[in-house]
Amino acid sequence: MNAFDHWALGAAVFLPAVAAGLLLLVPRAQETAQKAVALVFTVATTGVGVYLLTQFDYGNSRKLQFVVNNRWIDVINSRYHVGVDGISLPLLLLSMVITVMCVVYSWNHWPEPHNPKAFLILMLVLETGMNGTFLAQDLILFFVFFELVLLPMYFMIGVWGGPNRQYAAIKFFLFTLFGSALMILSFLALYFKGGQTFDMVALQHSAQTIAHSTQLLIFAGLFMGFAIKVPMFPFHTWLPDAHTEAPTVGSVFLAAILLKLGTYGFVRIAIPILPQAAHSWAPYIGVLAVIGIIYGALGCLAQRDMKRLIAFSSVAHMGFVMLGIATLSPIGINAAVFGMVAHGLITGMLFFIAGSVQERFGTRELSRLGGMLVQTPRMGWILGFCAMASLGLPGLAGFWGEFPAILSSYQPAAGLSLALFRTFMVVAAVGTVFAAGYLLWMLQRAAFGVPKAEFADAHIHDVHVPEYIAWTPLLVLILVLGLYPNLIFHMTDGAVHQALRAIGT
Amino acid sequence: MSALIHAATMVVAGVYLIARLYGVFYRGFSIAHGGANLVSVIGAVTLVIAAVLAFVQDDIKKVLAYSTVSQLGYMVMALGVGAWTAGIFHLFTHAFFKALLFLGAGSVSHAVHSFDMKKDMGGLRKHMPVTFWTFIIGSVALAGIPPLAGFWSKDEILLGASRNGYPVMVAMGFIGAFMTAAYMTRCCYLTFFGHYRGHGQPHESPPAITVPLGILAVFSVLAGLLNAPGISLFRKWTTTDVVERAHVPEHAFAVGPAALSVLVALIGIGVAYAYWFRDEGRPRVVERSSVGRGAYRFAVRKYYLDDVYTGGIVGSVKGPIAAGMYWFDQHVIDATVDGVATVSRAVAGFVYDVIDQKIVDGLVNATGATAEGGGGLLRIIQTGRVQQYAAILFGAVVIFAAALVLAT
Repeated sequence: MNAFDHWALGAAVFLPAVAAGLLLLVPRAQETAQKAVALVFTVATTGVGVYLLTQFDYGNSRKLQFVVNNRWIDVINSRYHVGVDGISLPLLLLSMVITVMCVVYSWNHWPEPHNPKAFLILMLVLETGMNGTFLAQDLILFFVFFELVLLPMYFMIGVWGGPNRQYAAIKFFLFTLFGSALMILSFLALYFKGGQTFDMVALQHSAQTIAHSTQLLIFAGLFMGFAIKVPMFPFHTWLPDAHTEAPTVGSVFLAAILLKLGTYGFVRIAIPILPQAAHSWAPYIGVLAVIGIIYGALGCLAQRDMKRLIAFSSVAHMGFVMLGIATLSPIGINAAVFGMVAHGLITGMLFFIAGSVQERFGTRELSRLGGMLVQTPRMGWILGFCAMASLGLPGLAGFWGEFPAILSSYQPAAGLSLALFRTFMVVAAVGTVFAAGYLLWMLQRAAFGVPKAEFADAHIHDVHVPEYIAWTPLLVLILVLGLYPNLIFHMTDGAVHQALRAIGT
Repeated sequence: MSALIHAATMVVAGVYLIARLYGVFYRGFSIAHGGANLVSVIGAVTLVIAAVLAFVQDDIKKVLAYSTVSQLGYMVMALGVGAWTAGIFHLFTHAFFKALLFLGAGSVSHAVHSFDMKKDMGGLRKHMPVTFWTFIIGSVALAGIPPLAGFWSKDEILLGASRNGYPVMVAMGFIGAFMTAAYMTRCCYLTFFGHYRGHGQPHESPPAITVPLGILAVFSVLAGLLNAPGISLFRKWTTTDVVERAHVPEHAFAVGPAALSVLVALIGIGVAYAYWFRDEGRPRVVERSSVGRGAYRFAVRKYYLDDVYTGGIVGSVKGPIAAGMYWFDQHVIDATVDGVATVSRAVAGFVYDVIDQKIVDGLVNATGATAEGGGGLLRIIQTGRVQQYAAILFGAVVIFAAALVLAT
């Protein structure tokens, strides 16, 4: 372990925060300097991520690597404990890449009321929160980062959002906070019942002595915290408002990373620390997951607004991720982690496109759009590519989140009802047909046919350079991960088995 | 082009899948026992109902498309009755003559700029001889006239069905053979015979089109011989342990059933000839009787299956079901969320206006103590919306904490 390895995770988390601090010093008028600082630091952060990728010991992906475990708050025995394993690593990289692409995408088009300095600072703080959440190995540290994410997003929606932004922002904030409140209570219960420690690794052993009935309650609190974030039916109603009202970059962050904090919490905290309770709750989580799949799809079919449709599709897609988690089987959790990355890339892309459509046409009403393949052919094709990826076309990334999740529900963890989970399997498979339905329907109405009369003579610019730069890496990743999913699975598999160790698969 | 690739190869992927996983189907559906099973019934029903639809199409490509569906029924039925080699052999020969027919249809439409046989075709045999003759070869091969390709594979299916104890499927196979010969006769008549009903002067297509037609015609003639008695190359090539492990029986060529199937096909051609070629212009049965008209309309509307699918299933999911669900989402689930917010604001208002201002502050004032400082502080805390919401959050936390304590 060389010297930098000790600092690598610290750099991954705090470089963006340093950049945010620097930006405070840059005068408000010097926008180019602000953008340069943000770009340099987010790229450097991603560089640290790439360094981690190259130095990561893939044969040992079940073990936490690059661990730093220092004293932090002695009075409550909470430590600064960070580390990365095969589940954290792909999500950390996703977060880093998405942030860079959001900075690039914003380059020339800032949402009203402009103010790039403040917007960039929020993005950078957001990245610190997201990266920290994926690396924290101490419950209090995790909670701090988990909550840190809320503030920048609250301001992004509330200040730079659409017409109904204030309602959406406070709804997002309070809904999530409500879950967090129950989650921190569960953390406290773990501390007091599980041996006076907040250390996630230690709790995997020391929490096993807690009485089953107590475990069930503690899990319920964790569930509320994470399920609202995912979001699972019926806690999803903050999502369509927040995604729709948020500025483009905000929607991308929300869909690509923030939702994953919830599913990540299940895989990182709830299941390894409380495996018995997870086993008892799994059937109920599975029911909510498949309801979400069908419900989200029907919600999409009822939408008139492209962005709101994409927002609702997240409810359905995260349903697949949660179904994989509910099976408590290695295939299911591997599928879930893959599904998180795939959904992050694909839905992130779809929100980028929706933002660019809004910017060009001034509307996202599907009834007013049409003929993108004629008028802006490149963007039309990119939309088609992403719609195909989102509906789970084999060969693109979306497939490897969806298909193994369905497969895993054929054989869930020992002791779970086969009949029930095989019913889930059938319902989820029907859900994929619905997904194809609403995505192709959206594609047809936005991209096929001829442009509507109101835009027929308008000069609509096709894909800009910053858009190309921001989108190409994501599109390439969607294709590459679709063709060779093992890139993710060989990271996650060891860590997934480690997380499920107590379930006995 | 898409029709060609589609008919010849893509749509048979399902047949191929059954053939590949044959052990599962062979055991699972007790195919060796004869009588009937789901696979053979689905095949036989598809075979006949699709053939009926091929009779009522005016679009030449639609005739060929329904013919393809019908022939897929043959293949599935073959697999369902245990005639494994016959099924995939039909898949193989069908690819040649159906590709030929689709290219022929393309050649015709290239000349008349339409796919409508009734409005824009007729009498084309004089104008496009190469297309005409190759189309006839394809049709005869499809109808199962020896020694062309379709005869050998179709005959093997009928033989397998009869030897393996599937009399109903044999009957369906013969009905199908009759109908195939008849609807292709109708198709050839409407396209190439009678007088030309289109506009302009149709010409034969260029070599880029006619040469492939010729090549495919050669294969349509010869492909069936691969598995003819005494040669049986196809069987040798395709026998895999998939089939061997399942002990699927194979049967040698028999003259009797072969002769019967040829006879049926010839009768089909004859009946169709009598119906369409002669008395041109006279009102047909389907136009004269009301039963005939009703049956015709039923077939033209594809047994109303499309209406059930698009109108009934897709329409209801896309329309009322999705709309109803979204109404529920917005007016029940989300209204609950908003309701919680409204109630907490009301509670906060009550706490401030009544409890804080009247009771607490009243007490403070009543005691004559310095009230201004405390009241002012509280007012700072309790003016924004966030704080009012937070009150209910705090309440939830307290309740949950109490539950946690009580349960442990």
